Amino acid sequence: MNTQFKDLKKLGDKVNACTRCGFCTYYCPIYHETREEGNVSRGKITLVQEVLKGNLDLNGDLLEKLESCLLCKTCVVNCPSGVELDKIIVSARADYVGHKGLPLLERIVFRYILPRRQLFGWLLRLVARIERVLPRSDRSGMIRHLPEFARGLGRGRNVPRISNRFLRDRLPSVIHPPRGVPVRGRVCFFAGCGMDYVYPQDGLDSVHLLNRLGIEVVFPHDQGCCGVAVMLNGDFVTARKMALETARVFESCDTVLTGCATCGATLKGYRTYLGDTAATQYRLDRLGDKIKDINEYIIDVLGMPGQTFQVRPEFKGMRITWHDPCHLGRYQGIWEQPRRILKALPNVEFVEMPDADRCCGMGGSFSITHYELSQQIAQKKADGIRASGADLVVTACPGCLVQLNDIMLKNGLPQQAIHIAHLLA
Amino acid sequence: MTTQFSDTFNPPLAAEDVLAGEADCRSYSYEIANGRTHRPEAVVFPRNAAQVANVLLYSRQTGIGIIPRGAGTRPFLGTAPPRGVVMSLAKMDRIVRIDKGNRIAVVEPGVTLARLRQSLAAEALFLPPYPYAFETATVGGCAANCTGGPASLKHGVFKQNVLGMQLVTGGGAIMEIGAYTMKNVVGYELSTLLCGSEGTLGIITRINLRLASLPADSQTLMAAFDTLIQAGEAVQTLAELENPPDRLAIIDPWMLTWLARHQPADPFPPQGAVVLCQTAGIESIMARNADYMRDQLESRGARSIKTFSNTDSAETLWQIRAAGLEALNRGDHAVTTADMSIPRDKAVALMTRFEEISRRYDLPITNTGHSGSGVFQPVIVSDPPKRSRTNATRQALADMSDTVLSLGGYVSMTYPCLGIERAKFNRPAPAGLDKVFKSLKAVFDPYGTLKPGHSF
Repeated sequence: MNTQFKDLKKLGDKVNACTRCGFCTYYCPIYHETREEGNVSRGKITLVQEVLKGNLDLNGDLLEKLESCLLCKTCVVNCPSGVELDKIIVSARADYVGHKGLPLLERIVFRYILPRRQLFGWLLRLVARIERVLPRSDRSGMIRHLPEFARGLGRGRNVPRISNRFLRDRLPSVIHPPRGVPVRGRVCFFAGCGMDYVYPQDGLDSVHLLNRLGIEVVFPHDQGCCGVAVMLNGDFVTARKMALETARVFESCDTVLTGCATCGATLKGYRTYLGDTAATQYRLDRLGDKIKDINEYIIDVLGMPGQTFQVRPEFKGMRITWHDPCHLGRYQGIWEQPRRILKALPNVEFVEMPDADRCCGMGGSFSITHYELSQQIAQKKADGIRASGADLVVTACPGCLVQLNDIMLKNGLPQQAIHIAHLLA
Repeated sequence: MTTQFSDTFNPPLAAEDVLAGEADCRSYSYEIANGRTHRPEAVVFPRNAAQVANVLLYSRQTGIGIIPRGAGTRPFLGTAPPRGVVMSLAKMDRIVRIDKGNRIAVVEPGVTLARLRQSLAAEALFLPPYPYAFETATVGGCAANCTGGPASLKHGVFKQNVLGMQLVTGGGAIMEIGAYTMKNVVGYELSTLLCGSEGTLGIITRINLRLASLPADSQTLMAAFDTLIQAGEAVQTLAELENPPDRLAIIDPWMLTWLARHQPADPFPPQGAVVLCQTAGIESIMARNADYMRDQLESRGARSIKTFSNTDSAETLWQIRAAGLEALNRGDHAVTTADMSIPRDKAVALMTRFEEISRRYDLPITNTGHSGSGVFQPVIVSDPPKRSRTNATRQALADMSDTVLSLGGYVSMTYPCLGIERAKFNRPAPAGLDKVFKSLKAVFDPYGTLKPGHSF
């Protein structure tokens, strides 16, 4: 048998737990649209088993199937046999990369750009310049329409502009609570690329929200990208480097907060995939233990009652609804905390949208490689938002924000999606 | 293969409806005996009866067998043809019509039960059968396999809900059989023949379903017993009620232990046996029925009875039970199952003998099924699979089959089992019937297109 599948082998017999019952076909957003077995958990597991048996080559054709997964974990949490498809997929991708290497573009982005925050920053500033000439999708001009030549990133996609001032350029190293507010704690803040480069206002709002609660926030300026795309696409070597660098940057912190569900899940998730030695595992475990999502921190750690908060004046009188990012709910088990905050807010009415926890279809790079499919999936969210009667969609993930705002604009819906930190006054 | 297909078909199938790549075909590998899998040459997704007929024509011309498939919630049964193409009905999934006044729905075979249930509920209707795969199975699959489940005591098995269908025979003819009404005796009743024919006679392309009014609400009782036999007798009693439960099921000791170990939200007691029964309808009737059922359960020795007073609170119970049954077929156990049905009043005798067999061979035998209708799907759990275990399993299965036959029942091998031929365990067809079955197969599928080698 092949010795090459070392990451899949680590899962041992768990790969054989699938009973082919097909419950996953009910939950998989991709299967809903395509009805193809290769696009659902059951089919993918069959393929992986065939690879391990030696009946199938781990080649490009198969990789395409492995890439056609949102890693939303809806199948995982509903599987009667407890099959963890996300681990199987990521391990298979890692084995592929280990055996065949990365495609050229990914190699350049993952190995040479993402880990180098200054280079990455400069490239993004360049892109920001270019974005200025793109047609506006909304009145504010904050969202632009991708031109035909960039259709590889998503034909007709509405994208938020890269900010002209990154979060890292707007924050000092330590941000203190306002005068008169007693300091009750100290945390470090991990921004992530979304908040750093695209939604710095949400980053500021997150930090200031914490300040108002008496929390002193430390912002290490040498922090970088969490590397989720690198890790989940199977480049464990680079991901490990980025993870250990992040661990180093936050070494002296006890608690690291993030406002991005994906970053949070990833920082907590390094320990699952990247521990190759006992020493590395230890460091990644330690880092993982420090990470808290901002909603989790406010409710579980600070024990704040929901009544603590108000909404900004521009949101008063609105009907609001919450979208559960996959990385917050299914990955981190954080469901109730944001709802407790939102339901207790005065001057707004909270409604649940149908299928609030359904994946928005972004899936990070999935929405680049499978834009049309990702839009079909997003359409279900737009339908849910419409049905909810809400004026505003609140969530805690920049990735979801991009996707939700794109699909709502496409549907001509008047709602917008915002980060919870921006909602709260 | 792809080019061949698009050339041959007229009207052609869309490019996205034909999969011929290695990975795609492998993902549709179907099981044959002994856990071996067979990879189809291609997978096609016809959208209408004409396309189905064209694929069957292609099959005739090339000799490549066709294996129909719905949601794939139950594995392919029987031997695999030397070459095969999987025909998935998953994309033929329109709900054509919901006729509220006549309580009939006309649906295409790929409609999942979940989607059908939602659409029917909006019209205050429902389809009574409640198989294990109650969300994901397709209507076509349910019809072709004549699925049963906990509702079958009161509502019958799937064929009781099929009034008629549109069919493409193995020979390629598109025909309407059965009726849109309760009765159509112009000619022979073919619709019932097709239910349970497992795709060997024709491909179902449209089904007329008999519906019921959606009950206002339901009450579910969860009764805990000390022994399986007690629970079995309780089920017997409930089955004999003038107004039997709408859903009835047993959860046996092995399954309870398994659920306690593996299901985080397990609401069932960890030992003994449980009877789950549901009565549905308007409040006053439901309450009276529930009281009556409670009395019966108590008189049979239930040590505790928990009442779930509405549908929502009880659904989790049924779902967890179904999930447990699905998970039972874990790939890492060597599990052997068979469909065994006996006259209802022999159920307790059967369960008693199965317990003896389980002790004799030191093999856990868990009873899925037994919803008071006399249909059992006992599962022999062999954990871990070992050579000696395999022999013990064969012996146990042989003893169980003998038991069933001696009680006047029938055994049909549902799953490929350790290389044992299905026919070996079935009661031999009464003289003459075998010939009739073969003739029927020849009439519907003269070229042996559908699941060649599977039956007759």
